[in-house]
Amino acid sequence: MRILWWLVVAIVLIATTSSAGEVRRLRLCADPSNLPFSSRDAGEPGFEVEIARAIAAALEAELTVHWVPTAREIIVLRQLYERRCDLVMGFPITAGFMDDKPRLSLSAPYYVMRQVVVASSVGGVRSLEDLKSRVVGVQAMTLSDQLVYGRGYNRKVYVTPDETFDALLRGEVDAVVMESPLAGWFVTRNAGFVATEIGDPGRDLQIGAAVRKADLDLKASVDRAIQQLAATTLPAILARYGITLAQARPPGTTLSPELRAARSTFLTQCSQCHGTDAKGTPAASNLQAFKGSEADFVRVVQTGRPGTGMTPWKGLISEEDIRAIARYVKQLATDSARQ
Amino acid sequence: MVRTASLSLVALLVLSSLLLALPSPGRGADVSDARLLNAERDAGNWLMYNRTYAGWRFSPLDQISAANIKKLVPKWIFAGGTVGDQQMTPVVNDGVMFTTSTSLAFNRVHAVNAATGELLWKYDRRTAEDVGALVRLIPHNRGVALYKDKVIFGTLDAHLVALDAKTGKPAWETKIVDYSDGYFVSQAPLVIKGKVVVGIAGPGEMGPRGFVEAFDADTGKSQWRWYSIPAAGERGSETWAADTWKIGGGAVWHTGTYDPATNLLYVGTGNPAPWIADMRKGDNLYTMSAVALDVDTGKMKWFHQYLANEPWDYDTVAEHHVIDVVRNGQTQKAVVTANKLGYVYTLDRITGKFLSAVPFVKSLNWGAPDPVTGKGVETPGLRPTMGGPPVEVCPSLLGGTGWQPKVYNPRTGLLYIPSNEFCMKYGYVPDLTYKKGQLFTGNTTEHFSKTEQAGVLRAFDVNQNKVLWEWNNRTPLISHTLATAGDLVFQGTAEGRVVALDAKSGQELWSFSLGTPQSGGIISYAVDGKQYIAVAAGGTVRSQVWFGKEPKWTHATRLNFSDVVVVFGLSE
Repeated sequence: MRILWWLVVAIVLIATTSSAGEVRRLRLCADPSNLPFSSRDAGEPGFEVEIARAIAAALEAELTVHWVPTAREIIVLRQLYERRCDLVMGFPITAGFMDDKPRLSLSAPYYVMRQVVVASSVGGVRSLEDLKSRVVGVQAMTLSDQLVYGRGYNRKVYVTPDETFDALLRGEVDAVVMESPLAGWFVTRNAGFVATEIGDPGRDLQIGAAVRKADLDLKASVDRAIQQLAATTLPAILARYGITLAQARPPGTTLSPELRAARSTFLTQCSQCHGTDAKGTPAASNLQAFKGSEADFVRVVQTGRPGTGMTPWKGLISEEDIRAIARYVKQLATDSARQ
Repeated sequence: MVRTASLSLVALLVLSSLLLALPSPGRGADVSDARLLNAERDAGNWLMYNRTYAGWRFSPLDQISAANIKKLVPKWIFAGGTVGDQQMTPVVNDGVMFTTSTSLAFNRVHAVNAATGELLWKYDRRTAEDVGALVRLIPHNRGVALYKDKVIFGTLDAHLVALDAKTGKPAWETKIVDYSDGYFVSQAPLVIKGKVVVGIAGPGEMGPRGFVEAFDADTGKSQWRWYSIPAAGERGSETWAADTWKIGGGAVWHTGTYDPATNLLYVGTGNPAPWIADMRKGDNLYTMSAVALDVDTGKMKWFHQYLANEPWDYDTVAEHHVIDVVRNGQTQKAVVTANKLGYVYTLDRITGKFLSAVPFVKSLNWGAPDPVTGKGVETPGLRPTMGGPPVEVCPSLLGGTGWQPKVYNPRTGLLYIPSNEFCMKYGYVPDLTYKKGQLFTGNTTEHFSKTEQAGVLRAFDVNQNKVLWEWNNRTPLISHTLATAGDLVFQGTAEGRVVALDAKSGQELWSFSLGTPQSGGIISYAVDGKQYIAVAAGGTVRSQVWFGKEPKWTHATRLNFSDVVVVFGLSE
């Protein structure tokens, strides 16, 4: 048996790498049932399988999957070391993790894992601070658990992500703090809930793919592929699974609940003409450059600008909401000036 | 050579005089059911929005042709007095042209001497101050219907109004529905067998359920109403999660087509609301569909849904042309439609069975119709998430082709499609709540193009199912098209040009600068044996918004808006 096994490996090795060091075939180790990360279901393969496929496609290599439960790290790494696969997705690029794994090498990061707050879209919870007086659900022994515990918030602990989110759906907790892939997966399936990043870059975890340290060519190829895919393919795959990216929001801006609500009204009712940045289009003025007072802003929005496309909004948006939009636009202008 | 040319010119002149002479019921004659049914042969007139029930917009007039196109000059200009949303197609009955001009303040109708441009009468109907957000943003009207001695049109506050065609005095008025829910009428109504058929606008952006309704053309009394979204318990309601059907959109905002042989009205339904697809899980029937309704009862005979749980505002409202196509030697009674999805679809017009779909644009990544069922199969990864980064999707939400009518020339077998090569960066807002009167879309959108020539007029052979020639323009073609028996195709542009092309080759033969974006209908008619081409222009505010973020198009946004009808004839 043993001799036969090594014989097979020898053949695979020849087929995997050509003389020029190009990767021709990539074998991925992945869990058959661990959505949103991976799944054997071809219709919903999970974002890590999709990213692995995109990497293989970028390298013009064929991808095959060796399905193996990944609940225990040691089992899946053994598959890699024993050459049953060449690539395993989803490892944190930190010194602490790599210290005791001399045979392992990690690729460039293909996404950043963060903690996010998940709550009802109408409940007004949009940040960590909003959780002070609420009951917060977390999964036991996770980074999110540690975060909420450290802040001293009223927390309820569950064993699995599913149980944690069930508690949110039942109303047992007001909000959940969870790792971004799991939170994204939940909100894409449950209308009426939103995920908000906690906005703490210090807690960001860069995630890369693992290869054997000896496979230098493979690591270089995977790094190159990730770099190629970073602009459009990776964000598209991640977005589909509800995983928001750091670039989606201007850095340094934390909005109050009032301004978050104003942003929502602005994006829905105003941004079609004035742009998502409020800097205007040929049909609509640059609101960041609005010269008048808040009262002037309210008046123009209510009565419109005759002879232009600016329609009167009186009766459709309340005066209070228009004032909040004025403040939101001012915040945008302040942020642009800072950048 | 010279001899052949002059011979064929003589033949053309004889033919055209025959056509012009055909039915001439005398100036101001009533528009009977028989005249509407035979509108195709009534060469000198343009009696309804798409000229005929089949929806072709093909004028049988051939006095103006490639041979004399250089002598085509403006004869008169009529100003409508509004700014910003001229999308109207004029109609002409025996020397009288009826046009509309619309602003947020009023719906306006004019009767004009079609030979001289002299104003005969004008009617203004004031709009209520508390109409919804969409009407305030895009107040427009696409024209009137003619029936017997009346001119019939829909209003910004969701009424149907009939005027005396001779005097402009109101004859009857009907409230269709409560405008405070966001409903209004933008389309030109269609009169079939004494019924005024009108589809409602607003639902796709404002939430309430879309519908088509028929009214008695003599009295304005409602005859039937068909909802594009079934109510709880009705067939198809299982395709809407919980109560989402109540604010599920599905506007029917474009004038339909009709086949007297099947007695079916063919309409396209719009996108569901809100645009955030996850907020209304399910297939969302009967949005994004072709629907055939029995004109007598309003009962649905068949439907074909183009895309289930639609996420990108790709309304499939474009007209379904009634055409007998010849495929593999077999004649098939079909409806043919080119729509926002970027494909030309052919369906059996008796059963609704899907026959074929062929792409006509290159900037297309959303997915493709299943070759057997015709149902859209999406490319994974192109649905945005709420608050997530925008996704690049092609075409843009204006569509591979928009509402601007496609035109069909039965002599060439070509469907002329004003089409667009562009994409959008499309995102969803972080959260969205329904508020009556406010926009209920939840999108953020920026249009862009990967090509220098985003507007492409394509001549599509409906029998061979392929594009035969293309004519290019820098900005997207959100302007109108006309085909004539003079073997000409007229096309407008956002740059304010109207051009005439050879119908068989696409070669540009003539051009005129209107000074304002071409945005309304282009029609042809004849008075006293002389053929005219009428071009409605004036631009749309939205096009400035759409063009604003793409540097390749901003030159067109510098043009001023001015609501005009410019009428051309041969110089004498």
